[in-house]
Amino acid sequence: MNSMLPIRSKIIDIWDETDDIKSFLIEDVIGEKPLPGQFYELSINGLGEVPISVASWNNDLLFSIKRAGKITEYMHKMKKGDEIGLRGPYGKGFPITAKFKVLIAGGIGLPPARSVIEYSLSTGDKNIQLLYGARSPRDLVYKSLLYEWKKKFDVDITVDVGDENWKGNVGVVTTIFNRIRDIDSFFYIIGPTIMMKFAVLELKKMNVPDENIFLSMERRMKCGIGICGHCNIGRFYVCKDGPVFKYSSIKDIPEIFF
Amino acid sequence: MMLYKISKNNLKDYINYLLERYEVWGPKKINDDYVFSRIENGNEFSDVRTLLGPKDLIYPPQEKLFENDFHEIIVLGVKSCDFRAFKMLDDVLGIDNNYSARRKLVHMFNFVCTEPCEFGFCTTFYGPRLDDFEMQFTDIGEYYLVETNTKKFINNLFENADKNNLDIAIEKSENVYKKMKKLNVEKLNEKISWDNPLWKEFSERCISCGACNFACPTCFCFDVYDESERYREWDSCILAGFTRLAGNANPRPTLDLRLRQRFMHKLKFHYENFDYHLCTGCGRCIEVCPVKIDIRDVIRSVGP
Repeated sequence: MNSMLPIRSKIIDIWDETDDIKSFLIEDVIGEKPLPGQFYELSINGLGEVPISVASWNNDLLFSIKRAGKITEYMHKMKKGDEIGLRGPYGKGFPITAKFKVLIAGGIGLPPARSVIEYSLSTGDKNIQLLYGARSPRDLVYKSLLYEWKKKFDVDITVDVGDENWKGNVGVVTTIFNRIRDIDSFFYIIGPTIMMKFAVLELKKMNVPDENIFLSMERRMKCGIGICGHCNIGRFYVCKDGPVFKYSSIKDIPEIFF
Repeated sequence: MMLYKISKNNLKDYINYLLERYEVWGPKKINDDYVFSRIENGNEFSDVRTLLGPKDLIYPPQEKLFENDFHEIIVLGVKSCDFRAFKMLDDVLGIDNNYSARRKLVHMFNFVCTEPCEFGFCTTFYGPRLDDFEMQFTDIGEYYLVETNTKKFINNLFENADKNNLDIAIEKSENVYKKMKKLNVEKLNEKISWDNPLWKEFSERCISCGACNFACPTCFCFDVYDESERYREWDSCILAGFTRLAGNANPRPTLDLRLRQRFMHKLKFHYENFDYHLCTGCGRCIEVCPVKIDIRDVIRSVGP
């Protein structure tokens, strides 16, 4: 079997999350249950592949995908029942722990955070808290789910720019760090590089040890199996050694944030 | 280990013998250059060090990703620098189906260098003789000494050789050690730094041509793209698009960062993962660089 050969799968359902994010429910033809934070290469014949973190899984796999390049643009035009290639799950995810977990998600970083939340809830573990930041109320994903989650654990949301109906916090995600319940937690940070950088800086000011901070890194992962060389950060390959890294193991690499 | 020798006069007939049984490749003169090419007649082969190595025979510059058409070939005139590079590539590309299928079917005959090449610094790492090979040929005058572990490629043109012949072969290769300057690479991975001023200096003259990657026997990075089928193609870490993400964000937006990546990958990152430098000292990147960027300067810059 060729290690980069996608398995033919099918889109079971598609729906809009925001103006530029859609969710795709894809048949899990591989059947290897992913761990929270792992990703798949989704493949369109004749166009290419994109690495996407899994947001949730039951019998099928859920991916929430932002329209950002030519392949995701094509995917946004696909229909229920269309064929799609799948390979994975790849990489190392977030630590599975009973410790209290503070999830800090920015924008399209919420889908991987959702995988952690659903995994924890499925094992009866409610030691979680979510701090979620988006550009605007229109850009919030999983709106009804956020409401459900609020009944089970602390969920705090902030937007960069509010609108006439927005009554919540306005500001970057670090402006709601005062809601952090327990400093002695694991912090899982997922989002744009600039947001991750400032989240780490803020956590360091709060004296959170480097070993308790985990980052989900984004790089150009073409092969997913650590051989094409595109996702190097220092001696690590993000696709194989990550995408989730303990901050203490990568903090001396100057190009982790860009 | 079995020792044989073959008279230089018989080498042509031996290659013709191989040609009756295998597809044979080796350095061949094309106009003014020696290029690894398909050998069709025994007298076409030349035992010379070529500008580009035979990497493409196992890892083509461009190939269909899911192609499965491989066949057995013999490559003559491989140099130790290129042979060792394949050993290194094995550690990364060994899990790749196309690479590993060809690797099993390509027999490489090492022809030991007895004179240093202009830009090479192989003695810094390993030197011209191999200790792990299928067939190793060393020019010992009227004969080639042939060391091998297999009788598969031996025929009646070979004569038995002895320890004296081997001693001569070793002495011939030591000539390279004598004439080639050895660089200090001890603790290089610790000493080479993210803020070495050379990255900026190099970036002022580098023209992003990627020739260093193309000529390097150990560079393995590839891009994947789709046309009617899925292909892969050698890629270059020197090019801006190498790390560019959707939405144009780029972790290595400037040339100094990309040059830093190239040298630190070879001399630090790969070393830390595999315990050896991703460089065989072949000197090809130095030879092909149009603006004289020299990996030896990087090694020298961190100490004597």
